[in-house]
Parts: sequence; structure tokens; C-alpha cells
Amino acid sequence: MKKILTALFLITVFLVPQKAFALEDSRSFQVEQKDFLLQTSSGETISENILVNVGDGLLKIQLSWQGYALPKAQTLNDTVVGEHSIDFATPDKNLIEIAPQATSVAAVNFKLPAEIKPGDYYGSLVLEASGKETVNFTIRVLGTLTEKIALQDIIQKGGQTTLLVANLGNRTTQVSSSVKLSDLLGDIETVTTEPVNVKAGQIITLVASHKNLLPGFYNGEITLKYAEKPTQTSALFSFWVWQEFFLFTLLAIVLLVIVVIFRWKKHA
Amino acid sequence: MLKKISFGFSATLVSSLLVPALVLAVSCSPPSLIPPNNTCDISEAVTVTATVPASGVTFSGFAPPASVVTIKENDLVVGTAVTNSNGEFSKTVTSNPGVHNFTIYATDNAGLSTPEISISNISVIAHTNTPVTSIPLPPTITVSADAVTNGQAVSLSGQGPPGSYINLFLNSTKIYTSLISASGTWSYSTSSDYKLGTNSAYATLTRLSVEESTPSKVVTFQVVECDLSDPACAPPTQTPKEAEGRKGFDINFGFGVELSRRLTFILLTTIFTSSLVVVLLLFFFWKRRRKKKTEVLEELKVKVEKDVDQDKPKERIEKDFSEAEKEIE
Repeated sequence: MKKILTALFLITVFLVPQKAFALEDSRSFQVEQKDFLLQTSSGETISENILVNVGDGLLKIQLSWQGYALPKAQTLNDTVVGEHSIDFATPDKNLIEIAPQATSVAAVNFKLPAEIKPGDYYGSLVLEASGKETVNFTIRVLGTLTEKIALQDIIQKGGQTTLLVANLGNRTTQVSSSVKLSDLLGDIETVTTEPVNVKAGQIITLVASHKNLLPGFYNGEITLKYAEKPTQTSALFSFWVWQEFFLFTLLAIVLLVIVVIFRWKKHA
Repeated sequence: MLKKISFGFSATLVSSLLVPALVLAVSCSPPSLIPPNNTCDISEAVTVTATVPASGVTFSGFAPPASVVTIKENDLVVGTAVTNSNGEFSKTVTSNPGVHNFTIYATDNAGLSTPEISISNISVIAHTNTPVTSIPLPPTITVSADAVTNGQAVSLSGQGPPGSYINLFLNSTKIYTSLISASGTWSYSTSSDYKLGTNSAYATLTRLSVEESTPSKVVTFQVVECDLSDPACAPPTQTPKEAEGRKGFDINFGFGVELSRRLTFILLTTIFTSSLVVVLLLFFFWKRRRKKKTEVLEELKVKVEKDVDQDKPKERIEKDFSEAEKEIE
């Protein structure tokens, strides 16, 4: 009986989707503008405004600036990431108090250093109350802007090709990839990935999935397309799908040959 | 952008060679060498510092006072500006040379937005600022009630730049024109201009020597014949299917759709789990009974065999049988 009750309890726990009972989104404010791309020159000062709308209830919103930060796995180089961080931004206030159903404007001032190098600089304005909103800023300092993309690594698992792509340039670049696979019989299958924006100093993962690959040996060609003026870079690789299948087959053939030889010798 | 160019010839000659957009500052080194005729000695190096202006577009126009004007390109915000008390704004956006398509909208201090208007095919020339002036952003608009009884007043209001004229259209007919107040607000109340059923309203702006703005957002309200306070008088509403844009229907136990859906889910889960419990319990008891029956039959078999071995009378064997049957029952 105890076993049945335990089983029933477990079934009930797994059957009830916990998400259905999740609390409502507790955010009671929202920002209208969430992604900025501002172009300017060194030594300039620019000021941008973010409109905050509040729902029911008086709200105190804390404002803070967060520089460019990436998860470890996406960081090409801490120094490069640090160099592209906006550390010249100042929110005009650290706290805004907004009445119910009202709006308020939070301004951020950017005073660009005179010696700042051309390139993209990243940072975010974080607004926190009961919920959290992030407004992302990209400041493009004009000058020599380079778009340089490198293929860091290729990971092949079954029919899935994972590409690690790094942005070695000094501005955000849109990258897409196509992976062309050809088998021993010469059949070709190409999979392309959607264009993705890669920030300066960032490493991203592009996944191209080839479905229903038969066991065998494959040659692959990866082409990365990027930059405003179409640029592409290619790389070749090869891999096995289900090499165990071939190993077992080979082993079976060897065993069969041994058995045949053995029996033939015995018979002789 | 700052460029430093060093030339080894006369400064007057250099200035005539450069494009007019360049702002030149010429100096002789050392300054004491400047001859009376204001030209440097050819053998001396001259440093020319040229400030090249960035390419860009300056947007200016009118919107409600203290509103935030947002300029976007490819869904990214490229600039924002806050209008002054006269509703004027100006914002210079640095941009690359070439053809650009921008969108612009304003959000007033009540949180109401204008529709996005397109500013297309703006040619940005290198090192030149392209002005886009007198952009007439449409006014903002809101309605006081979603549904009113026929004869009841309904108020349409919003904001726009002071000094502009608001043109209010109800069901595509202009019903009101007025100068927007110094505070930037406008309002119109009516209890007769509407029709029974669904009414839609929008507004445009006109301003001296500025073309009429594009229409504001469209607001709608319902007008019903009977008294809204009467429970029997329900204003025509959208069916949940239309409102939610999905198949099926919403269950509403009077607790609101969301709570009712959750309650329904809990109820269905409980019914399902209970059914599962009952089925499993029935199975358990059936299996247990079957096991016991088998045990009793086994016992009986042993007993009968024993009775037969002991040559017991037939009546005794039948009695044992009936006892066993009772036990099974």
C-alpha cells in the first residue's frame, strides 16, 4: 500500500505543471526604449532619455549603470571587453519616484573622452524596483571601424555542428553561417543559421543541425558571412557519424573471416 | 573627427586647396617667424588642424510639451529628445553617409504615444548635417469611457504642441477644431455627435506654415441604447475568441478569466488524480483478493487430498467444500 501511495504522490507531482502556479510578473513599471545605438565622435557629449511608465502604486525606482560584461564562456578576452565598456555614462539621477499611472523621464549623459578610440562601446542602464528592467546602449565612436570575425572552434556531435565564432573587430557585426556537408557518395546538404549580432570581444555559438544523417564519413565546409560589405570566410572539416557502426561491422567481418579460415583449416 | 596634416608649403595655398567643409587653423612654427605679409616661410613646416564635421541628420519639429520624442532606425533607438514647454524639439543624430529610413514618435507626460511616422529616403552626405525640419507629430488621444449610454457625455482628450490646431474626427467626420492650450492639452466632450454602436475617433494637427500631421492613433467607444447600470444592459463586447485571438473559449466562474482557468486546471487535475487513485486501489484489491482465493483453493486442495487419503465420509468432504466456498465469498 505504501508503495502505491508513494507512486501516486510522485505521479501527481510530475503531472501537475508547476509553472501554472507561478506568480504573476511582479514588475509594475516598464520602459519604452530598450535598445539604443548612438553614433558619435570622440570628445562629444550626448544625452538620451528613457521613458518610464508606472502601473498601480507609487514606485521608487533605483537607477544604476552597468558596464559591458559577458558570461565567461562568451568572453574572448577580459581586456578587450573592458576596453569596450561604457565607463563614461552618468544617469542624471539615481532614484526616481513616480506616482501611480504616471510617467517619468530618466536621462543618461555620455561624455566621451577626447582620446577614445573608434569602435562600439556597450553598457546598460538598470532600473530596479519590485522588478528589473535593462536598457541596452551601444555607442559607436566613428573613425576606423573594423569588422573581423574568426571561427574559434568547430564541435561536431552527430548531425549537429556547433561553431564558436569570435568578433575580433571593434564594432558589433552581424554574422550568419552555412554548413555544407558532403558524404562519400557526393550528396550535399547545406544548413544555414539565422544572422546574429556579435558584440566586439564576444564569442557566440552558432548551431547548424543536419537531420537524419546516415552513418558514414562526411566532409564539411563552413562559410561565415558577416559585415555590412558582404565578407565571408571558409573552413573545411571532416567527421564520422556513428563510427561505432563501422567498427562493429569491421569487427564482425574480421571475426567471420577468422571463423571461415579456422573451419576451412579444420575441414582440410 | 580631428585630422592633423603637415605641409611644407605656404598656408594660404593650402586653404584654397581644401574642401569648404573643413575648418582650418593655420599656424607657423615658431610664431615669431611670421613675416609682415602674413605668409610663412616656404622652408618652414606648417601644421594644419582640420575639424571634419560628422555626417548626420538634425530632426526638429513639434510634439506635446515635456514629451519624449524617440527616433528609431531598424528598430533601434538612435536618438531621443525631450520637448520644451512650447512643444519644440531638435535632435541631431550622427549617421553614416547613404540613404536612411527613420521612424519617429512621441510619448506625452501622461504616457500616451503618437503613432510612429516614417521619415524615409533621407540622404546623408559625408561630413554634412542634413536637416529634417518642422516634423508635425500627430497629437495623442484618449477616450473617457469604453462604453456609454446613448445621451451620456463622452470626452475625447489628449495633448499636442501649444499654438497648433487640433482637428478631431469622429467616425471620419470633422467635429471639432480648436487651438491647443498653452499647457499642450486639448479636450472635447459630446453627448450627441456619436452614433449607436461602435464609434471611432482620431485627431490631426495643423500649424501655421506646416503641413497637416498624419492622424493620431484611433480610439473607439461603444454607445448603447439602454442604461449601463442595468445588469440586463450589457454593452456589446468582443467575444473572448476575438479578444484573445485564439481558438476555444474562456471559462469564467465570476472570478476573472485567469483565476477561473487556474481553478479549472486544479479541478481537472484533481479529478484525474482521484480517478487514477481509484483505479489503482481497485487493481490492488482485485489482485489481493485473487491471491487470497488462490491460497484458499490451495488449502482446500490440500484438505481434500488429506480427507481422501484418510477415507473420510463424503458428507465431511462436502462440508469442507462449503466452508471453503464461504471463505472465498
